[in-house]
Amino acid sequence: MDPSKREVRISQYFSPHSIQLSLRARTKKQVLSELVSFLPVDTGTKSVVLEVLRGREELGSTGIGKGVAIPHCRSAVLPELMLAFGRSKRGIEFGSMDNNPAHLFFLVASPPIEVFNLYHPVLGKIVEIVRDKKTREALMEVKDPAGFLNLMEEVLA
Amino acid sequence: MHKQLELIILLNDLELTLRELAEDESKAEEKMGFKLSKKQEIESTRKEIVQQLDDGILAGFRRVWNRYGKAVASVRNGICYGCFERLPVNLVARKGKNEEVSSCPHCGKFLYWLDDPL
Repeated sequence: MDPSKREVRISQYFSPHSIQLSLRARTKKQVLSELVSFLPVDTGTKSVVLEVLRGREELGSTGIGKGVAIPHCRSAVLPELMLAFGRSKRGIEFGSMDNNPAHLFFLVASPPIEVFNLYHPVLGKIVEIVRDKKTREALMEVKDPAGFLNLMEEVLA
Repeated sequence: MHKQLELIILLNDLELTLRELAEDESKAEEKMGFKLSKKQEIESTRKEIVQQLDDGILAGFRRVWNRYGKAVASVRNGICYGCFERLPVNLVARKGKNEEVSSCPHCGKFLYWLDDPL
C-alpha cells in the first residue's frame, strides 16, 4: 500500500504517560527536555534524542505559531515512531513565527527508517489538526490524558 | 553509552536531517509551516562533533556513509537492521554492548543495540 494513503491514527502512538497537561518547564530548553522525558525509552536514548531535537531547533524553530510547537526529529536510537504531548497554560517562549509563546507541544520522534514511513504523514496530520481554532481551544481545556486521547480520536474521525 | 558511539549517532542523525532538508520530501516541512532558515548553525554543530571523534572512527564513518547513505544501524534480537544479517555470537553475547563502539561485520555500519540500552 502507498504509505501516503495509509490511515494515520495518531492516538495510537500516545500513551497516558506521554501526555502531560501541566508542563513544569518555563524555557524552550526545559520543555524539550521535559517532553523527551515522557518517551518510553532509557536515559541514554533520551539524551541522544534531546541533542538531535536541539540540533533541529537550531535549524529553525518548530514553533508554528498560534500557541503551537511541534518539535520533531529522527534518530537511529529510536525503535519506533513515538509521540508525546505537553501543555503549558502559562505559555513558553519558543521562538515561534508569530513571536507569541507556545502552549501546546507535540513531540514527534522517529527512527530514520520505519516500516510504514509515517514520520511526515504524522507531522502533517498534527499540523492539520492544530490549524483548527476550535481544536486548539479544546486542547487547552482537556482535563486529563483520557480526554486528550478522546479529543484526538474525535478530530481524526 | 560510549561517548564516541553517542557522537557517531549524533553525527549520523544530523547528516540525515541535513540530507532530508535538501530532498523534496522535506520541502513538505516548510509547507507545513516549519521554519528552516539556519543551516549554517547545524553545520557548526556538525563541525564540533567531528572534532571530537577519533580519526579512525571518523574515517570509518565517512567510508560507510558514502557507501550506504547512513552510518548507524540499530540491532534487535541479534539482527543488524542496516543489512538484516544475523550478527555473530561473540558480538551479541557481550554485556554493556553500547559501552563499546562496534560495527556490523557484514555492512560495516556502527551498531546501536536497542535491546541492550543503558
